[in-house]
Amino acid sequence: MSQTLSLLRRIAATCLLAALCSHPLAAATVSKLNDDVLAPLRGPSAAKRILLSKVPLYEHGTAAVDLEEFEVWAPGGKLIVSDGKSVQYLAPPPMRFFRGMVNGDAESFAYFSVDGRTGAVYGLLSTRDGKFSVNAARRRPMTRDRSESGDRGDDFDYFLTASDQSDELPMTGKTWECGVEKLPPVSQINKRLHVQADALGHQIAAQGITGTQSYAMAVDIETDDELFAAAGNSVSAVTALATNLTGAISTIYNRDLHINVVLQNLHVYSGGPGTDPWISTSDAAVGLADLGNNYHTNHATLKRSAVIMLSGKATFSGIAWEGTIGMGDFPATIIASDNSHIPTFGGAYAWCGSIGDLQGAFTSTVPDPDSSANGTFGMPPGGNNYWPLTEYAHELGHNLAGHHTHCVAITAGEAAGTNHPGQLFVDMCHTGEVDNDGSGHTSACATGSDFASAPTEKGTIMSYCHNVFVGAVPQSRFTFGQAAEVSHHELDDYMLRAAGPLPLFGGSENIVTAVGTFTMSTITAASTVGPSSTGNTASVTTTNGGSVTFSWTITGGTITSATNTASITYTAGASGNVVLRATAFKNGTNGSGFADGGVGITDTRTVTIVSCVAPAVTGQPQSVAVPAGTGVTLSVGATGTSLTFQWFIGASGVTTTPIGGANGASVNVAPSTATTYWVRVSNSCGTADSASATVTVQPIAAANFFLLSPCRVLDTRGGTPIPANGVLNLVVTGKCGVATGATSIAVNVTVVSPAVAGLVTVYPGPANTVKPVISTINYTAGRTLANNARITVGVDGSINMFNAAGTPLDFLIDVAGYFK
Amino acid sequence: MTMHTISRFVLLSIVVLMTAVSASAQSGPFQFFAVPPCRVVDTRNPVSTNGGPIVGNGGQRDFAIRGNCGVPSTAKAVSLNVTVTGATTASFLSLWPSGATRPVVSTINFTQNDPALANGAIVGLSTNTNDLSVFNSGGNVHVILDVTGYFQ
Repeated sequence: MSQTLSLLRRIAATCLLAALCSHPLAAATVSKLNDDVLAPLRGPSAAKRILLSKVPLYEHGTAAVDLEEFEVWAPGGKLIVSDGKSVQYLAPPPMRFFRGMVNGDAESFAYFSVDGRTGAVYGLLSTRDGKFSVNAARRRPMTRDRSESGDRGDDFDYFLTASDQSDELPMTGKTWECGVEKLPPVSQINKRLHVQADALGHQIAAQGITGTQSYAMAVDIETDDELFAAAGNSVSAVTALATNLTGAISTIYNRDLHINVVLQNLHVYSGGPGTDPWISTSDAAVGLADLGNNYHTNHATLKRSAVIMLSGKATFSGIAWEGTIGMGDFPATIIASDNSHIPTFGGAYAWCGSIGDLQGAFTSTVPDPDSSANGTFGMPPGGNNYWPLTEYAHELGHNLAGHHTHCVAITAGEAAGTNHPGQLFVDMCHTGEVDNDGSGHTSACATGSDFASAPTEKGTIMSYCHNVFVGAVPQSRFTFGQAAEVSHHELDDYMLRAAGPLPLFGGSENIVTAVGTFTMSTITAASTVGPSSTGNTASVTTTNGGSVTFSWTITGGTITSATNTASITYTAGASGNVVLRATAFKNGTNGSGFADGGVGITDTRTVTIVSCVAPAVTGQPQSVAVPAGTGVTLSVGATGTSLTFQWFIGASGVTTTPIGGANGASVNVAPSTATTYWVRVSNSCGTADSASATVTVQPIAAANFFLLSPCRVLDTRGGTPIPANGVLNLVVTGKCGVATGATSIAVNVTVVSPAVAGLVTVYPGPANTVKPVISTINYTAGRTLANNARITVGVDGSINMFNAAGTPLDFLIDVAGYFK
Repeated sequence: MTMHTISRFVLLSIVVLMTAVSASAQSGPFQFFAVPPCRVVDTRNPVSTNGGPIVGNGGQRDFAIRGNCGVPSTAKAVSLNVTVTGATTASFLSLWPSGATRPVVSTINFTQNDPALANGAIVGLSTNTNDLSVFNSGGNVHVILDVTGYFQ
């Protein structure tokens, strides 16, 4: 690019001198243009290349505007009008579009549109000397009978409005073609709005253009009820707005970023309030969430590079996802201004509010004495209103990975005068920056100017300088400035790079459209695989395939074959999910000019495969007998990944009586009569059934008392105390003369020098009996204490002792007799 | 009292009740039925027959033991663990079959310095619906009764 642009720089320097010698028009100066100034544009057969040689931008001189024709609407583009009852698919308006430079200055641009039906001309010029707009005002009374004239351009007067005489200060040393190759990284530079990139990579959907080193970016434009109302309930006015905005922005983007923005579909809602698909909000963040959710739900298959909302809602702000151009949707959360968290889908979405705010945005009118509704709606008819253009260009710039330029480093000298001398920035218009990264800093990047004072130099489209005024003139320029360099480097990650020389403007661009009906099948693969298993296969097929290029990615495993074929083999991870993603790419018919063949259609499929170990029962639930009224815990031991359990009453395998809520490895049961239980263990790889276990119930039986010689049946001192908050099980039958079959023992229990206060619950065995809520002895720290008790013995001849205290407890049981 | 009676009733040192009742109260012999230990009274619970309120100064509560915790309506006496907690002053409890004159017995003695204290007891049951009476000599105290068996 250096040769071409060096030449243009020299031209620019010459013209700059010329401009200084001829004072530009003062701001808000309105001049009626002589008919011959725009005559080359108004001719019914205007040439592809036009020179407007006498545009009166200066008090005592004119400028030459070199224009070439270009396209704003994509081939096959549609105007989609919904009135709430039906939807019309209309052809784009019959407009011609021209773009170029003023006096050959590479820092200028000019954009004109000509309405093919009426001949009305709209124009926008931005130079080092200021911003100018050209508007048409219908002559009143008409000078000719309309039926004879065909409503051609002679029915209009044309006015030039100078809006900004203070724009002569260039951004010091910062032309966008400067030689910075790669700017030093700063913490904000990779920041995205709340989310990071899709871990599986970026899907490129941007369309390339043959024969130039430009890119075409197809945008889908949405509007709303509010914009329709602000445009005087006119479909053609909304269409003119969206078309002219896109054309002017494409001109800027082409100059700075070598991107042609083309309008794919324009949605207009003409049914009146409440008939558009959008929720009512005054919060741009809510609007962005709404846009993402709507497109994710309704337009998942729509091929586009970005979606722009031009809203008439009075949010006074816009918002967009950063670095998302060409990406698919991804789940995300937006934090609204009221701090609520709104789930949505991120992606290449940009949301622009207050587009229809005529009150604040359009500060002057074309001086038509016969009409209060002057000019062509939708583009600034005069004054310093460039909010819609700035906002659209700014938010779409975010989609293109463009950061706020007060967060983009440039040189040490630039940063020396700021509050952050160690950081380097393209410009200093940070005002109003919000804390999107959660850093807690609302001015995380450059500081040095605010709403009350103008910056030392003007800011870029990606700055907040539109909020900084000198007089009524916002201190921003229609350029990416040096941020274009940053965007270029980042665009490398997202866009398809073409070969060949780089003209300033796109040449014979030819947008590639649909490539047949190519689609890819879903991925054929086993739904479950063994952990760490090898040689697993997955494959896809395509329709209308032809020369299709495949690529695969995997998470949770390793691809062990080539990845550029329709079938792969892979090794699964040790456990968890294996996610396979297949992408097929078919070359477009016009893709020959691209080094990487990157023109065409991609299709992507994802499948999730579970890597798991089938369940197996390793420890069966055990049959047990318990005293009536006693609960018991049944447990199963099992192996396998991500197991689930369901316990049943009945014989193993009989699933007619599941136990509600019994979904763990153990279950507490307290049957009143003998009952059989079993459990089914499951995961994604299968099921395993346990054996049956029967809980039998010992009825409460009459017992006689048998006196024993006093005998200490338990003394934990020097042995195993009752654990802290734990259970000690002791078989008492067969000891101290307690007979087998004893139902209760008469005892004195003693706690020995407990360290802390607590209590002991003594209850019948077996060990897995559910502990009742009772106490047998309560104790305090340091106090050896005894209590008399009769302790019910379990069917297995054992008792359980639970120590409800944080330290182990020494415990004595002296038996005096038993009941049997 | 005879040795015969003693062997039937397992009268250990704490069973002051049976000795305190006059000789005319003797009955039996009975057999023992061990039940899984079960909390039948807890005055810390909401107000109910076997729940709150706390037993007050010189207060008496009559509780229903038979029909709860596996103790049948035919039971004549119950094997208990008596636990007190939250005592506001030094006091004692007397337990006896409801409907009879309160005997001069102490089933458990305690002070306000005891966070919780327990004693085992065997107490006769009357045929009233609320078959067991508890008397608190002084202050307020919560009473907890855990059943471990019954006689009939």
